[in-house]
Amino acid sequence: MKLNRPLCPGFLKEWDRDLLLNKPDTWSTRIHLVVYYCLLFMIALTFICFVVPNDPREYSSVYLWVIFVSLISFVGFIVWLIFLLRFNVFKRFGNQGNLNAIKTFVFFFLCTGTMVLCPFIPPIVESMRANMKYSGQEIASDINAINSRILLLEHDSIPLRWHKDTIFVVNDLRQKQIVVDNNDYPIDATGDRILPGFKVLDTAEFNRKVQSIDSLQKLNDSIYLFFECPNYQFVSTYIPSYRYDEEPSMAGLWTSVKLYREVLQHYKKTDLSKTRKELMDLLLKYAPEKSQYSYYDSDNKSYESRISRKYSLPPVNNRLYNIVSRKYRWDNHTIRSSIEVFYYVTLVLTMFVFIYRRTSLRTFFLSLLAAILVTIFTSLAGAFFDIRDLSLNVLLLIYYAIFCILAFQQSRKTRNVFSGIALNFFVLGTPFIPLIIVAMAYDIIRKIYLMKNEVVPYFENESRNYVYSEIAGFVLLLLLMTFVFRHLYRKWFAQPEQ
Amino acid sequence: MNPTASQEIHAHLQHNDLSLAVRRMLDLSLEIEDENLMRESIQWSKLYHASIDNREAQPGEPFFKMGSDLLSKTRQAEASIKKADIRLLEVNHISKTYPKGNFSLHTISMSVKGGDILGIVGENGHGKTTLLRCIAGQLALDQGKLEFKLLNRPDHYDIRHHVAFIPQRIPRWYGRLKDNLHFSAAIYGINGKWNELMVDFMLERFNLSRYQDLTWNQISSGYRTRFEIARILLQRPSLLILDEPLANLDINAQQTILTDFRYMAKSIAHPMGVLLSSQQLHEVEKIADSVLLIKNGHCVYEVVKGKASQQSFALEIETPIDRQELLEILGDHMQIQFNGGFYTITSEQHAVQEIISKLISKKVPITYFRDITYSTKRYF
Repeated sequence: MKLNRPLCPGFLKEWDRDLLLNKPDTWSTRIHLVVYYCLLFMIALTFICFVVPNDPREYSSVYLWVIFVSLISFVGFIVWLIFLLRFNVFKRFGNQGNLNAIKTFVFFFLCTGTMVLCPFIPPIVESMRANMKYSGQEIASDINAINSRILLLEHDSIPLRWHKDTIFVVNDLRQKQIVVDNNDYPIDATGDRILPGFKVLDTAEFNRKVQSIDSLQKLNDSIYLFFECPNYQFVSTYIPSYRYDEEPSMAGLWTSVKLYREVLQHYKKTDLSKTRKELMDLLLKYAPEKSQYSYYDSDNKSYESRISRKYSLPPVNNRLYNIVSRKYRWDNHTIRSSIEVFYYVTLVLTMFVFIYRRTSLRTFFLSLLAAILVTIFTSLAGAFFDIRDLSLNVLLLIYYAIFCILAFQQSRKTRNVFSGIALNFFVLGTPFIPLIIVAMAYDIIRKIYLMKNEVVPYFENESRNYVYSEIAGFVLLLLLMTFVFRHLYRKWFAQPEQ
Repeated sequence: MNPTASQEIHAHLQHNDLSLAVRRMLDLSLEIEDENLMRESIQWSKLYHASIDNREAQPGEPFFKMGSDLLSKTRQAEASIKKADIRLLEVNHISKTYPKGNFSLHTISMSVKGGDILGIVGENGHGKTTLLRCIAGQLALDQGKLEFKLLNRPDHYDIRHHVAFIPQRIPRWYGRLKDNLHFSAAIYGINGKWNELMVDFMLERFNLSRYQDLTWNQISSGYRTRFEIARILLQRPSLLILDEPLANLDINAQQTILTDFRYMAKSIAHPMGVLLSSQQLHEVEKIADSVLLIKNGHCVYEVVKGKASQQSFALEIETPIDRQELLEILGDHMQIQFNGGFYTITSEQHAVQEIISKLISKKVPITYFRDITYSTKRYF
């Protein structure tokens, strides 16, 4: 076949011809061309993202790149849709194997997924560049050095005494009929503190706090002293410490306690001018020029605020944050949301492409209109009857059941647009059904706890179960695609018109 | 005894009907289903078209030598072709009324066998397209039943897959003409080298080779019709339904296509049932085995070749003289109708030959005449 496509190598032309002559259903999805051209685009994009000027310390402009690449991907998607219009085995009543529906769906998913993946390239490259320029160890040691030197320089003007709390531990607050305020101080009915200087904790809360307290001293079985070290982290990354667990090099970042023990506990006078010069060198490394931004300071009388102003620390903190947020953009705590964005955008677009290829144009657009109407109706019902959480999920399941019944109740004689719309909704709703059921299950469990006037516990596996339900939804979709949807669409589309 | 296809081709070559000889040879090679023979036939066709393109008066010696070689091969292979006799379709008392509109197609029954050509004629808006779309499975029936004899308990998809239907308005296609042919063949299970061969074959058979790299916008409506026929025939259908296939064709192309339909329908190994509607009454009647005239949704007349009988004879003529003069010349027992420049003369006693003799003997200037005794034209 004569191909005038740019950058199309010989092997791809051969492959294209081979698919056209032997696998027309695969050929008509254009997967070979979509994946090839997307890979070319990704390589070019990666190269461009690597060569454009990008300082990891500066604010990231990656969102502009994401918008730009998303628009290009969208144009690519439209072009692909136009190509999909040209050849359709199903609508031409050609030979259909048993696995044809699932095969074309998977190919559509791969094509769409490849296009949806493109906007992820700029942030990935940005992270790679930040990782190449600054290691976690380097940042941790620089932050430690900056904080240590500030402590050495400001030793005489910072608080050295640790904050102390006396804790009174009881087995159960309700049994003792003790009420505590937000700061754990016992109060009476008028809200006055009844044990000045004491905080009251039940054993569960006590055990939880013990995990995070800097130091404690046991006075007897019921009374403890909690010690909290003053804040000595004048420079930090604003990234929660639990996220450093993913990055061993960042685990070397000193806490306030560690800084106290390393610098202040055995304090020795140092050469202040030398220390100041070292500090300035370190600060200049991250904030070489004066910041053009002004920073809001909510507590300008505190020692932290004074030190921050004295050494112009906000720009340093911001730049460290810029670097670290780039570096840890893809860690375990944030990657899931990225995967979900990728998965759901790809899934929804793929399902639209699939139903677009299996229904008449009129039914497809009427389905979109019906989806809008159903959304409006549901929103109104939600507003009037306070439908949310469990009741919303029940309503969605009822919708699904209705669409399922209507899709199966196809007229024997003629093609009916309502059956077509119901069938499209049946397909669109399927991958979300396990998710809805899991959400319903958790809603019911929570309601049971509340009905019993019990505290709703934290469900450790909830997040994991949602992931399982998402996977189950996809598997269910593929199974129904093979055994149900294929037959329903075949029957519906071929039926004569009135 | 009917001449064999090889004998016909030989005769066409002798009488210089080269185009017909080439087309018949292509058909015969397809019927024999010999790959090498098909390739050689395609080459032979290309030689012929090359000579036409070069504006030669006649193809050179290699063309005729190759033709005689091919004929000697086909003569041997022809004997092995097995005759297939198949029933394709029974249409039993079908009727259709559109829910919005006042048109109804009233009860119609018919039967189609392999090799039959059934012409459907009638004025615009009287139900030809409705009947064909009902048979093709595109429109739901109000009553009656369609029985596709080659299908065992088919669903609608099977029926739409089985019946090759070319609508009056050919659906637009995208991309190159040749790619569309490859695709159409492939989705009907014609793969690999056989796909390439069949597409080359159809391109030559319908003289589309020159247009193979062109797109929809680059070819005329006549060639779009040819393309559509080639595309449909790639599916090797046993039942072919065509709605006004002659509408976009010039007069030569109409004759060629109709002759081709006749030959293809009468194939020995793969006889095909053809249903076609048209306004070209005489052309359709020439090739059809039977003709249905549809008027206001009713089948008002059916002509079956060889079984036609009429109460009166009818002649259509075009002459500059007026009706009164004609009546005086022809005398009693004749009825004359004037309709759009033509006179229709009907008589229960005088045969058409007698009427013409009478007109010639009276030196009546006749610019056109046609015997329409057995034609549906009488009922228009």
